[in-house]
Amino acid sequence: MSHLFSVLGPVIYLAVANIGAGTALMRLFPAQARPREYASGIALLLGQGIYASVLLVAALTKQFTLPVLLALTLPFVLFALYETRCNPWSLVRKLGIAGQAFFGAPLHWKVLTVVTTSLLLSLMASISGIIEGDALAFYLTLPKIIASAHRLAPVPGYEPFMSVGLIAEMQLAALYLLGMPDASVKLYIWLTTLTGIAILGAICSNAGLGRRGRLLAVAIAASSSCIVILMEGKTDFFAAAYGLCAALFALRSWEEPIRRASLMLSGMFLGIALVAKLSYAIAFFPPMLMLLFYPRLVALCQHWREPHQMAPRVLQLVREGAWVALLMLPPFLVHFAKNLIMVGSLNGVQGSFQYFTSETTRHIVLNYPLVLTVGRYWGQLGNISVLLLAWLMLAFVLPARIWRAQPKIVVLLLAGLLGVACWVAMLPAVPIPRYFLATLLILAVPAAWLAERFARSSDVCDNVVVAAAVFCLYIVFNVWSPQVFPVHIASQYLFSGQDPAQSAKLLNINESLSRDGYETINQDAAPGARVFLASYFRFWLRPDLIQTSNNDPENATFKWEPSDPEKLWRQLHEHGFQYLYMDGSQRWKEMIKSPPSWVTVTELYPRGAFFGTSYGSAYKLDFRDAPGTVQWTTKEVAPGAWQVIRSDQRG
Amino acid sequence: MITMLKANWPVLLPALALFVYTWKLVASDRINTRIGVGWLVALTVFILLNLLPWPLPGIAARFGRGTPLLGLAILAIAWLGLVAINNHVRISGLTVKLKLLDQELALLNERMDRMHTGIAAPESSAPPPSTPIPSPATAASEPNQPPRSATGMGGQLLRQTLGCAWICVCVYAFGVFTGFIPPQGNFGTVLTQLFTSLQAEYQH
Repeated sequence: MSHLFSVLGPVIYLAVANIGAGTALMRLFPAQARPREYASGIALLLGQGIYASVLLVAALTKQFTLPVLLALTLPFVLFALYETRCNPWSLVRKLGIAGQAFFGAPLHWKVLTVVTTSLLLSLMASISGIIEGDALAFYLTLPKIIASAHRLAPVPGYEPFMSVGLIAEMQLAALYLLGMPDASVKLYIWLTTLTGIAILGAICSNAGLGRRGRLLAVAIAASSSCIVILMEGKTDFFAAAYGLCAALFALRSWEEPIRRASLMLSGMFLGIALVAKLSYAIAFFPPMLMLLFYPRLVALCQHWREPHQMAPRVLQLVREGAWVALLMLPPFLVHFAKNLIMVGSLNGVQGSFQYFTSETTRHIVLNYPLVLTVGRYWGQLGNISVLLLAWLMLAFVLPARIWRAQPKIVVLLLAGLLGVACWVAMLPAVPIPRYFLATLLILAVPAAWLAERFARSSDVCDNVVVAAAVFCLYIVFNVWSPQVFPVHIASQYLFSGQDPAQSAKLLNINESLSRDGYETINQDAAPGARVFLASYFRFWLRPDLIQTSNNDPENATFKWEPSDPEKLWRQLHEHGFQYLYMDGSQRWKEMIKSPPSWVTVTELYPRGAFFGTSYGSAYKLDFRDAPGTVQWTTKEVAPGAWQVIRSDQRG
Repeated sequence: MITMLKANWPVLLPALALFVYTWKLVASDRINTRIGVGWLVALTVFILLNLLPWPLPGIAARFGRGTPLLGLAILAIAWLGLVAINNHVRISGLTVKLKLLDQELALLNERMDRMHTGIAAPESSAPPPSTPIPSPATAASEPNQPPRSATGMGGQLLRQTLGCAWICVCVYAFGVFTGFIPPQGNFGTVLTQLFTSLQAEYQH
């Protein structure tokens, strides 16, 4: 069987289960409040949020096994299939309508549609692309060991990171449990990205944009390198997708008959988004308050001179706020329980966000919003599309009267700007678009609306707007495809029936070389052997070896001192390490050059180049007649779950 | 550019002839302006690609001499195919509209005849036209828009020019930022300096 099926099977299964769970929950709300368009996408994202919390509870109670997962998902898979039994025809009908609209559009709009759709679909090829550093270190490693240990186990060396929200990671762990190989879970990230971008289209539709406006908003998202680069294995877009759903229901709540239900749904999505990315509390929560309560605040302002009318309105506002807060709560409860168990406090250790000197920070603040579109600061990992800036500025060249009767567009624009302002005020030294992606994507709606209006003003403007979008998308494909989504390599990977070792060779060359180093240890090491990783990355290591690798306290005490070269070797021996992996990020080459006489260092990878390459070197350590005794060893406490324990506790 | 002209004249000559012919057609109003301008833009891009030292020579150096021409030929065929389909869609749409207009005209004639002969049309037999045909005066100006004066038109043109120029600058800057377009001239240097100032490594 080709990889296509082994890779697509689990993704489709989990997506259908999510749709089933989301649809079932949506049934609790009045039919009017349920959107007819994009219903499957909304259900998928809602289901993801529910399952993430449920699976986290299963992992915390050490019950994250395949039977439990199937018991939790299968009923909703069947429900989803039952619910969608008539939908193939409706899908065909919708496709027919879309086809009619496509063929009726002018040629250049057809070209833009084809280019945008092709780019979004080709992001699927990220399955064979490079994996980003953080994903190699933590975000893909954690799901791998949760699935293997059937419980929530910390990633050794990254224990403080366990306080982050695990909405996306739990779903990726479920995919590993369903048998997805290696880094192919990135396919699920792609699916979520597509769904999130579709929800952006739904927001545009709700705000009054036409088909062309929606297409332009999608083009902004597709040409944002900060979204494309997330395909390297980072999970930030999950939060953005939930945030966009929250914004969609906030806009829907402006319609009075469905206000209560829409507020509740918005609150649910907002809670999921905040847990998925805690940084959204700064840049996304204030704009959401604005979107949610704008109609009520306007009414309050209109009646502020009439005290007898004010009291019930204030009470109504408080009641609605309480509903939103209540619905936000469930994902937070599970998240806090996880933090109490894993890190001993509700929030865990909060890192410093002072990435740069005060002078650089001042420069960053003075150059907003340019830093978001053309900045290359540490940790940025891509920018928001230049089209966002280009089209938002059209507000200054279009007549002011166009804003009349467009309250949703105006409020979206103000909310987005408020979010960015909050971010700059609170974290000026962090110009990282993926930390407040939902806020920036909200701004894409007024930008697309302005571009649509501008395009309508003349044929030349129409052509310029479309040409700009097509050109930007082409640049994005040209610049990022070879590394992030290599289409040709991915097609070989997906449609070939090779064994895993052979198909691994089809990965990006960097990934293949990096993987080979770890793979030599995987093939040589006994179960639960201790590997000392002088590297930030551990994804390609076997799950049992990851669980028993060097932890945070060991990293703090193990230091190479040229004045006492034997000290580190003694520590390695006493802590029971049998393998050493070292990459270009660590500088312990001196240690390897001159080991003491009681250590034999055998080079496993790369043979013949003793001091390694930038992709890393793997060594086997044999201690004979070493000073001191082995004080630490490993134990399989449950099938697949390994722990490092003191040698005297082993019996 | 002269070298490129010498090398590519067999391709450039027919393209230029086609350009002039299309131009004449547009000027004499014998072709729809929208379609004509589309063709002119496509031909301009084609001619510029054959005149500029980037990116076709690079492609030729990497993939072989005949590749750019073959690529352009494939693009031209795809373009022609799309234009053909597009025209079919337009013609089909126009045919439907013509049929509707025919019907409306027939109904109108019938009414006029009855009015002249003094026979009142019964309400049920002659329903009002489904799509009222706008008078030339109302068709010329859109509703909700004030009548356009010469100053207003000038302002509008200025706004459109500014908007288009701004979009082009942004897209060019993006091309330079990503390394897709090599920086050219003083503007390229300014952009490069700007991008260099907007980067920093971890400093704490």
